Amino acid sequence: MRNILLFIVKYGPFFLFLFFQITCFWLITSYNEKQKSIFINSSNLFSGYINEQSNKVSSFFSLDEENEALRKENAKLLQEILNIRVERSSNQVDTFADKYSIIPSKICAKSLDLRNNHLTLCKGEKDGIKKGMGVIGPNGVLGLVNQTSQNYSSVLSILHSQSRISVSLANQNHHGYLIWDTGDPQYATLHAIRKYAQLNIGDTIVTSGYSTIFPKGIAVGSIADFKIEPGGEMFLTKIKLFEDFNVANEAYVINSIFKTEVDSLTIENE
Amino acid sequence: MNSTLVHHIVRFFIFLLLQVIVLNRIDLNFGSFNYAHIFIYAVPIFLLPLNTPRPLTICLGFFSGLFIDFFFDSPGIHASALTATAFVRKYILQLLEPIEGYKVDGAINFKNMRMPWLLGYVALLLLFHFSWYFSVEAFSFVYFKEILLRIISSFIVSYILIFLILIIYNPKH
Repeated sequence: MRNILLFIVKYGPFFLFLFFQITCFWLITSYNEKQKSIFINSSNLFSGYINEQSNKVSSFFSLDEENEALRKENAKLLQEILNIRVERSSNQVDTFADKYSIIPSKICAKSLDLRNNHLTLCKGEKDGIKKGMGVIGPNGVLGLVNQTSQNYSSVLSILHSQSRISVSLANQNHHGYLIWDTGDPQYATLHAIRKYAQLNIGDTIVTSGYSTIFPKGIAVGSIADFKIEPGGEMFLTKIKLFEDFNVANEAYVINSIFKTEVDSLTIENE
Repeated sequence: MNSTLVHHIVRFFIFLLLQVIVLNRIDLNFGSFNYAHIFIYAVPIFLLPLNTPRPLTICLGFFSGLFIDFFFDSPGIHASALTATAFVRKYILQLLEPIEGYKVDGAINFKNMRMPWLLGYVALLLLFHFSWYFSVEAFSFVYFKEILLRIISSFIVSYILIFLILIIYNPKH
């Protein structure tokens, strides 16, 4: 107690000074228009800055949820686009509402540098993913589901020696198939385009829609280089893939409603 | 002692009234150059005896500043500056203390103090006072150049006037 008193006596003038300065500050900021407005403005700037920073931090922690919401929204939009496209190309009023539905998912794991690459999605049978469904990313085709478990599914990526996707030129009716034999995750090879097709560097390659896996017209890549197969009738075309597998993070699994129906027909025919 | 006290009180009132009645009406505008202001109301604080208790000095600074503020219609600005000036007075005195120390009776006037000491003492305090005042008045260092211009021009004008007054009036206490 005595020490506290001594302290106050010793630094009394300073506390008095502080007290008067605070009083003055209060007087200045409440009764002088100019200083008041400066004070309010700068305190707004300050508090605004603090708010912004704290928002940044909190939004960082909610990024996952936000991404999930955006993914769902994207899937919904994508589904609508695909179905509209189908309706337009079939040129008839469809009594069935949707031909394709989309299941959004995050990519949990992926490989790029192997001879046979796979992706793992964070969703599985529980969310409706089945073997044989097509998988696309925001920019283009990713691959095919080849194994599923309760919560995860494995995707045979385009970058797999066994993958074979039916594609066509976006502006012409020439079909071929895309395989990955370049060893470079950015490029694949397009086979079986007839040599009388008009190829230009930069032309877009899209899915053909002949298989039930992918709807017609999903972008795959663009022509980077082409030459005629030695002694053959076909072009050998190098394709630059649109989807960058290095950064791919989002996947949309395409569920074709009529797939089982079409598949059973095919099997019967065989 | 009693006459000293009365003397100081009267001095406070004379300087404060001189400031608000006469000097507030003097307009030192030269065309667009309106940065010079005359403020002499801090002088009674400068001239308080050396042995004045510090809390008293600070209180006097605050209340005479507030008094000036009522006439300038700027509550708190002059009070803030004069409180700060009263607070640093002791440090300036310590800074300027002669080797042989101050005289015991402690009045600050031409008799006790040499002229260069008084010039330096008033200059330091006045400069501090003006720096504080114009900074608080602008309330933002965005106007740094303008603040500096105001400090310097006001200081020169006020400093000359204060010394004219001190020489004419030649305080005994």
